[in-house]
Amino acid sequence: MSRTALFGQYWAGTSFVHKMDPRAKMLLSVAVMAVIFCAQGWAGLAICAAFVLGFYAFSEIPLIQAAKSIAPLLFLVILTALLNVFFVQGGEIYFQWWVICISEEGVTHAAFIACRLLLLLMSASLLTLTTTTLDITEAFERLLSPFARIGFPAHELGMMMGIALRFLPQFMDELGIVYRAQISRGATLSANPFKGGANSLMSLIVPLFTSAFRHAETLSSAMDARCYHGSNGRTRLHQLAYGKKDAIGTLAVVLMLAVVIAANIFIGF
Amino acid sequence: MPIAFEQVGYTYIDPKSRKKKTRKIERGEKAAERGKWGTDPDAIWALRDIDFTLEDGEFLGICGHTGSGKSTLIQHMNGLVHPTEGRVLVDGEDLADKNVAARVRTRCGMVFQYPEHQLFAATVREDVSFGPHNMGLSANEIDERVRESLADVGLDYDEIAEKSPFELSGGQQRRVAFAGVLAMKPKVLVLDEPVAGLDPKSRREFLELISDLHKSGLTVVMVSHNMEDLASLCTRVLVLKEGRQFMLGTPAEVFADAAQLKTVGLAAPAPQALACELRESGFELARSLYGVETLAQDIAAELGYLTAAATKNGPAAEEENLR
Repeated sequence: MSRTALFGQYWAGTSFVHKMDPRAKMLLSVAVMAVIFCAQGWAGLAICAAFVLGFYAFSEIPLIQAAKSIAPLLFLVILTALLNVFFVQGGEIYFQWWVICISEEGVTHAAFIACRLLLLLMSASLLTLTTTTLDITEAFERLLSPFARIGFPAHELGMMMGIALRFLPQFMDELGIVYRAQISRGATLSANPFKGGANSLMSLIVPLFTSAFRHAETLSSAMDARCYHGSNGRTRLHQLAYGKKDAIGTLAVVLMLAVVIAANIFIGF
Repeated sequence: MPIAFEQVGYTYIDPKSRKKKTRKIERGEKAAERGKWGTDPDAIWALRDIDFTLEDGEFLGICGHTGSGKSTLIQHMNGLVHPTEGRVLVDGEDLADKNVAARVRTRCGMVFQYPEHQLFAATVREDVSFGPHNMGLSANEIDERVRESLADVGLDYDEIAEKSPFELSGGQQRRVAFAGVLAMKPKVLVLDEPVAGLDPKSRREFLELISDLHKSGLTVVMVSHNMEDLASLCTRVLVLKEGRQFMLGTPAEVFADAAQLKTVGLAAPAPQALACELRESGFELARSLYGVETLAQDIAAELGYLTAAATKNGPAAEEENLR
């Protein structure tokens, strides 16, 4: 089967970014997103774009794959852009009909928002493309572990996240089977889920839920059978450790922040 | 409602290049395209060169190793999956046409693996009536069909109709799911491993039910890993190997060659395999396909004949008794 990267699907590799510590990657991707929000003009955004593309270059992920991985979420970008086109007013009016009014400011603002959202998606996608779900959950757990002292269930949350991520593809498969089975029984689900009435929608959701419960039960028995008892006394084969690569990554993001702030102050549009 | 497969090929490569390919075929580059099949290592074909017609009233068994394309093949029969190459005709109409596929869907009942996992409604009655309801039948007609199909699968309407399907046992759930398909009164019944995971008793009952449905005039297609079931029920057996038609013929023809079957990781039914071995070591066994009982009889007869030749007494009488 051909290999296509979906949003959140790990793209195996041994690049600089792949080898970084998952905790550092997680924090840095949040930082990059914050920096993208800092950019107030086109210049700042262009700098962000250059940096994000640079990060992708260091991850050695083919750009086509990167584009494919965010393609399913593009509708979100388009929707947001459209809303901005219609609701932001000002400047020269290009088109007016009934309550619809498209103006200069609306169009530029929509384009700006769309680009920013695209960059955000790309930086979020980079984390999941270069980090296995196991590493992500571990990083998540370790980052939250200081709060465990005040009773925050860091390990449990990490485990829950890991299991949820693990079962997403499984449920996609099962949804496909149920979908085909109900289609075979003449259900009209193809185009519009609401057209066939609530019953058609239920015919997919109920089997999906029952299967989720079934999996949950077998999984918990399997974990019990292997003596899983939470985080107490649990050790790890691969210990996480920050290294030189993480320092370099942090420097890159700090540089990005500095350049964007400079762009905001000195260019300012 | 004969279903004809014409040089059907199917691949899971991404839809864009698939569309390009079908367009090419329309331009008449079909032969050239097929020539490339064996040579292109990247194109993984789930099905290739499938060419046969499912005739009315037959019982077609499909078997093959895991991943040989069985499930993909049967999904072509009601247009859930469209061939990348070739076409599937139902009553002479191409299933690639959406309207044809929609019409065929209710006449070609598809029972997936573990159909009980697809139950969803609050009551058995509602679940079984889902299919007929989607067909747009009247309330009276739906009610009648639900009663009929529940009776067909050996469940008591009055006892079970208002229960939640999730309260029932696994075997009963599968019967309900089965009834849900039967309620659409299909002409063709396609079953994907219908008895997988059932206990021996419900398994036997289920196979009997399927056999009865076939006798009542339904065309049945059954995917199964159990060669004994296929040998005893089917009128024709299709063996798939890596997506290609490996063998197609009556059970007698297909199971006659146990060595050939072994090359695709399948074994002839146990009695048939034993008969083949005995034949090789010099026994004279006349039938082309053996079940447990027929083989026992013929062996007894053969042994009786041999010992009768030696003693000319007791065993000959035994042979008479057997007959």
